[in-house]
Order: sequence, then structure tokens, then C-alpha cells
Amino acid sequence: MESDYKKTKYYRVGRATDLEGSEYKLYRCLEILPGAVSWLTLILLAVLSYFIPFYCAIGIIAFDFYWFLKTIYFSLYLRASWKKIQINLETDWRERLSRFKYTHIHQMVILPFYNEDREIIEKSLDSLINSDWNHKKIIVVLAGEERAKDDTKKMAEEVVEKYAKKFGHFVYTIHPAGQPDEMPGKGSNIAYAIEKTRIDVLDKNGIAYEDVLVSAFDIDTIVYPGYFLCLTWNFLISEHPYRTSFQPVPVFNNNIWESPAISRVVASSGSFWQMMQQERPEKLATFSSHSVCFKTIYDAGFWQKNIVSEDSRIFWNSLLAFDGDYRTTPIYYPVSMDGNLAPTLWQTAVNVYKQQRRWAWGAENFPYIVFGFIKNKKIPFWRKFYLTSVVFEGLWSWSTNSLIIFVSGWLPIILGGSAFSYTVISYNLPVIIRDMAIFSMLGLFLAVLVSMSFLPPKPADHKNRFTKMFMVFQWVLVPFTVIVFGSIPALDAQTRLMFGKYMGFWVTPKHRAGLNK
Amino acid sequence: MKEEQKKNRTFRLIRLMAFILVFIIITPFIVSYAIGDMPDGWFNFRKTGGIYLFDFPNGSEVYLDGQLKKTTNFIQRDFFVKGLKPNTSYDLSVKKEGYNNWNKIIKVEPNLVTESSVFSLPIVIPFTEVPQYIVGTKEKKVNTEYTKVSQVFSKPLSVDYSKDFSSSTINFSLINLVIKRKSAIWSDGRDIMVRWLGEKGQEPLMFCENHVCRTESVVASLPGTIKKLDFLPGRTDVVVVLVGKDIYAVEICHNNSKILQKIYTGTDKANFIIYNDNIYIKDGVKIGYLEI
Repeated sequence: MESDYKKTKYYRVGRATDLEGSEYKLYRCLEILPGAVSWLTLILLAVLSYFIPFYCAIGIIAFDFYWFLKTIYFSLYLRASWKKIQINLETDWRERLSRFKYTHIHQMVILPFYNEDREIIEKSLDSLINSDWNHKKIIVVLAGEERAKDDTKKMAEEVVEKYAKKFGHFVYTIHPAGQPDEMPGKGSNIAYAIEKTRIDVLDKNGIAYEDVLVSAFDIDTIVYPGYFLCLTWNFLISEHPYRTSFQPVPVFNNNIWESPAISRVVASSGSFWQMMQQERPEKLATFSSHSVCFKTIYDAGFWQKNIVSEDSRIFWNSLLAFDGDYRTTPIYYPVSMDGNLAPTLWQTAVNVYKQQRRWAWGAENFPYIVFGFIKNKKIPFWRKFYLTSVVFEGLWSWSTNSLIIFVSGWLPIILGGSAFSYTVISYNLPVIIRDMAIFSMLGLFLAVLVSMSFLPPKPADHKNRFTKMFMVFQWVLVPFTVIVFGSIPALDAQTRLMFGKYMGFWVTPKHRAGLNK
Repeated sequence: MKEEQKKNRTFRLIRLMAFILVFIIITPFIVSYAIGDMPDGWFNFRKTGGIYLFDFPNGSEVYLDGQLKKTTNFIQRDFFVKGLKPNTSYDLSVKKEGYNNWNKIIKVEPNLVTESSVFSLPIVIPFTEVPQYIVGTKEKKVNTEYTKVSQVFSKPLSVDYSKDFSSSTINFSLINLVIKRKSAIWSDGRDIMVRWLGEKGQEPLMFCENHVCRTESVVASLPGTIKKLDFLPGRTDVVVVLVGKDIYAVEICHNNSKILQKIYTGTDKANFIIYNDNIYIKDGVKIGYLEI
């Protein structure tokens, strides 16, 4: 049934400036809120450390203990999720699917690219060829950009020529530059590509929208052989197949042997977070590479074109479009992607920071969600309240928690004055903070085990004999990475949103040793 | 599938509740421990305090009520003990071979840490003479260090401190007065006077006893009239004092157990000056410095 909300002007709102009058003011307030609360938390900690250091220290100790328990709590989710992924990787999905009728299902794979190397595109296409699915039922959509370099377009044409006959359908689209009401980026590109594919392939060949599973990948996404079988099984057993997105686990290990430690730690931490989220489907929104039935995404109006975080926004679009009757189903199956890697360590660090900031720009969803919840009266109140709390808490903890744990704990000692410095708590505070951080870090043993289990074989040309050992010890960098590549970029993104300095889509440069000049 | 999801959700909810319960139960214990309240039977806590000592010579032995508690080393140069019964006085002593013993009675207060710096100098402090002439040359060549220090003795640096004491009735031109890091010391006959010139509430430890701080007081009385005084290089809680022909190092402290250590005995002509972070002594024509 066509949703009323989808027809409103609010459905595709990208930012406050898309609205007018009181609606503009409301949306603007919601844009300000996450950053304001994060900054207020940090400023308040400093102020309270000065005026009431004793009570502030008690609060910090309680928070540290909460964080310690949270680490254990999340470790249990990580372990459970990891076990399910291991089982799924070993499962004979073809045998599992044998009870269902599934041969009519097409897999549409959208691979947007900008200026990436030919080898990166070909590796992704090769993984599709190696996947366990009838190639005649695979529709590959290579989605290029008009604003890309001429060399890239020429290269893409060669790739099309090489691979076109290997799949049932191969569509090469070039997203026109400078379209009105669009932001250059992945969202506008894949939205254009899928619409073109609908007309040129699905409609022309009479393929039913209900029979097509769309996987919106990044150009570096490499699928494991059983991905489409696992996805299809999850789709077929789903109670609400047309009101569900399907989320794999993004594992950033394509170039892990070449990546520096900071890149590996940040990338693995991101994967772990997604693994934990798989265990909490009620809190799960789509992220990065994800899949959905064509009918669903067609009904939702495809990806939004005027925002940065199209991957998660499509979930919120759908949730509002279907009046709350929407969910993300975890499929506990990995897809492999590139971690950040640049020719120099500094460039890599800068790219990691920019990528994290772009992800943290997902804060732009908060005003959209709350504004949508206010306007869409058909969604039950408690579901709205729950989802708003989950999103808000996520944004707040991302930008502040590691700063509270590793930095703010010292504020009462620094700002508390001499009267506080003579208290027993001022002596115990740094010791307790340190001990809790150390105990929490013990959870990293699990991180080591999980990350090593996803480690691809060492490339033959990889010379460093100690890389594997470094991959174990790299986790000591966590206190550094959670601040520099966690809280700070999140605070950066929220502050930009707070001041209305809207971010554009930053394309993460793809680099693999030996491929780039 | 739906049944499994429901079961999974129930299990997760129970687990979440269990974690919340653990948080609610354990947090008060952690907070109590942090503020210095120790469990004393079921649902009962007793307040405790602590003692913190610092500025040790390496390898000192720290005794609490006669029991050896710690031997300091290059890395662990301080001593902290907590969980002590409040409103009780503890006998702290620090011993190191070749050094003067340091001893102090420290009263512990509930939920507070009583801090004290340790003041322990070597029993024999080597005096290194600065020769007037450089030895080994055929002609008598004047030692420039001797000349320089000698000049400093004859023209001590004069600093006008009157602006720091604008509201005071003391005639500071008539007495020895030294100010270092907002702490002023001066002599009045046999007494060492001390005043805090900084903000109230920011007083260093030497102005306080049992966490009650005073901004001005007499902190020590010497065996004779004080001829000269200055801060010991590197510290603001120890004063070097010239009394008669003896030079002492005196701990600024309100506690009665303050330490007085003789660091030089010379003649009636003995004088000292703090120069380049050293205690230079001039005794007649002899000039030298103490190796502390």
C-alpha cells in the first residue's frame, strides 16, 4: 500500500534549509541537539570538576564502572555474533535452500565507482563470478560518474566489455553531473543507476520486482561465495520480506596485510560494532553494503540523493514510508571491503579520520528521524521513543564516552583545587580509572581472536614476517584510536551539523599495495 | 523462527537486567571505597584516611608506627598508605644510612589524605672549596668563579618587596626577607616568620596543619639570633638559616615535630648566599659550596 508520508515534502528532506518557517526552526534545533548535548556534557564535566570536584569524581567513577560493564556486555554480543558468522560460513546454503523455490530470484548488484583503479573493480566482479549463484540471474550495475576522469570512463568501458557476457545482465550507467536537488555522492549515483536498470532491464525483460534482491555495495566489496544463497534464504524465511533490509557484516580486510596498525584497529573496531549490532536487530539500521528486495526499495523511492549517509538513511526512509513497519534483519554473513590505506602513514591516518567523520555525519539522520516521527502519526509512540533514544544515545556515546573515560577522569584532579587534592577520592580516582581501563582492555583478547579468524591468507609477495605478531599487539592502540578516530571525528561531525556547516560526500580513496602508482 | 527470536529477546532482556542489577549493587561499594569508606560488617562502612609522603632520598626506608612499610627506589619515590583509622596520630619515620632521620607525628582525618614532604639531608654535607687561584699554572691566575661569587657576596641582589606587603606595618628594610613562589620568609630575632602571598585556598602544604591553613605565622625558633635566611635551592618548604657561626636547614612546618639540621659549622665570619641553585659559603677568605 502506498504510504501517505512518502508523498509529503518531508520525506526527502536533507537539511533544515530544505524547509521554511517553523518547520525550518524545528529541524534546525534537531540538527543542533546532538552536538550541543555532547559539548554540554564535556563542558559540564569541566565546570563540575572545578566547583564540585568531589561529586564529579564520584560520577566519573560510576560512569567508568558502567563503561566497564558495557564492555563485558558487548563482548558477549560480539562472541555470540562471531559464533553465528562462523557457523554461517560453514553452512551448506544450497542444501538449506533446497527446500525452497528460489531459482526465479535475481541478484542485482550495484557497484558505484568514481575514480577507483581497474583492479579494484575487477576484483569485486571476480568475486561475483566466484559466488555460488547462477550467473545468468545476476544483474551487475556498474554505476559511474560523469564528473570522473576521462581515463576512468574509458577504463570502465573496457571492464564492461570484458565482463558483460559473464552475467545475465550488465548495466553501465553514468550519473550526470550537476543535477538539481542532488548532492554528488553515492546516494545520488546509485539512485540514478537503479532507476535506469529498472527501466532498461527489469521492465524490458518482464522481471518481477518481488523477484529481485538488490545488493548496494561499495566498489571494493568482495562477496564470499555463499553470500547470495545466505541472503536469499534469509529473504525467503523472512516474515516480512518486503518490509525488511538485510544487513551483512562488513569486514574491512581486503588489504589488511598492507594496512598500517591504526587503519586495521579502526576498521576492525567498526566491524566489531556491526557484529554486536547484528545481535540487537531492534537497534540495527543498514550500514555500508546492504541488501533489500527491489520491490521494497522501489516502494521506498530508492536512495535519497541530497544527503551523505545514504546507506543508513534508506532504512529511516523506509521506516517512515512504511509507517514504522520496517526492520533490518542481520544475516550474520560477512562481505569483505578495503580498510583505509594510503601511500604514507600520515595520509592513511588523515583518510581514516575523514572516513570516520563521514560515518559520524550519520548524525544528519537524527533530525530527519525525529522530525519524521513528529510528522508521521501512524508510527506507535513507544517505537518512536525507543528508536529516538537508541539513535541519540549512540551519537552521544560515540562523541563523548571515550573522552570521559580516558581524558575527563583527570579533570577533578587538575581543576578541583587544593581542598579536593587532599581527599582520599582524589588519590583513588586515577588508580580506579586506570584499573577499570585495564580490565576493560582484557576484552581485547576476544578482539584479537575474532580479528584473526577473519584474516585472509598472507599474500605471496608480503615480505614482513612480523605482521601477524603486530596484528596481535596492535590492539594496545585502542585507547588512542577510540579518541582520535572515534570521539574527535564524531564531535567534529556533530559540531559541523550544529553550526549548519553541512558536509559533502567524501569518497574514501581506495589503495592497495602494488596496484597504485 | 518467531519463537526463537522471542526466546532470544527474552534472554537478552534478562541479561540486560542482570547487568543493571550488578551496576546498582556494586557501584555504591566502589564509590565508598573510592572516597575512603571501608566495609565494616554487613551494610556498614567506616571512614578512613591516608598519608602521603614525598621528596625522599632514593633508597629510604619508610616506617609507620615502627613497622617498615616501604623502601623507596628510583621509580617509586613516594609513599601512600590508605585505610588508616581517622582521628588517630601515626608515627612516620624515614631512615637512610648516612642521612639524618626524618620523623613526624601525623594525624589522619576521615576521607582525607595528610601530605607531608620528607626532609632528610646527608649527615655530612661535603663542602667543596672554590680556590682563589687556579692551581697548576706557573703564574698565579685568579679563579673567575671565586671572583664572581665573591662579588655576589659583597653586593647581594637587592629586591624591593614592599609592593608585596603594601598593607603590612612591618619595616622590611630592616629585616631579612625572601620571597619565592608567593611564599615570603623573614626573620624576627630568633624566629622564622612565613607568609603566603598567593590566593587564599591555594596555600602550599607548609602553611597547613591537619588541612587548616594559615597565611602568616612563626614556624620555627632558632638557638640564636638569625643573621640571614633563604630558601633551600629547589624547595620552598625548607629554609637555610645562619645563626652565629652555624648554618642550619630548617623545615617550615606548623607541626611541633619540625626538623632542624645543621649543615655547616664555620667561624664568626661565616656567611652564605644562594647562587646558581647552590649554597655558597664565605668564611673569611674561604669560599665554597655545599654539595646537597
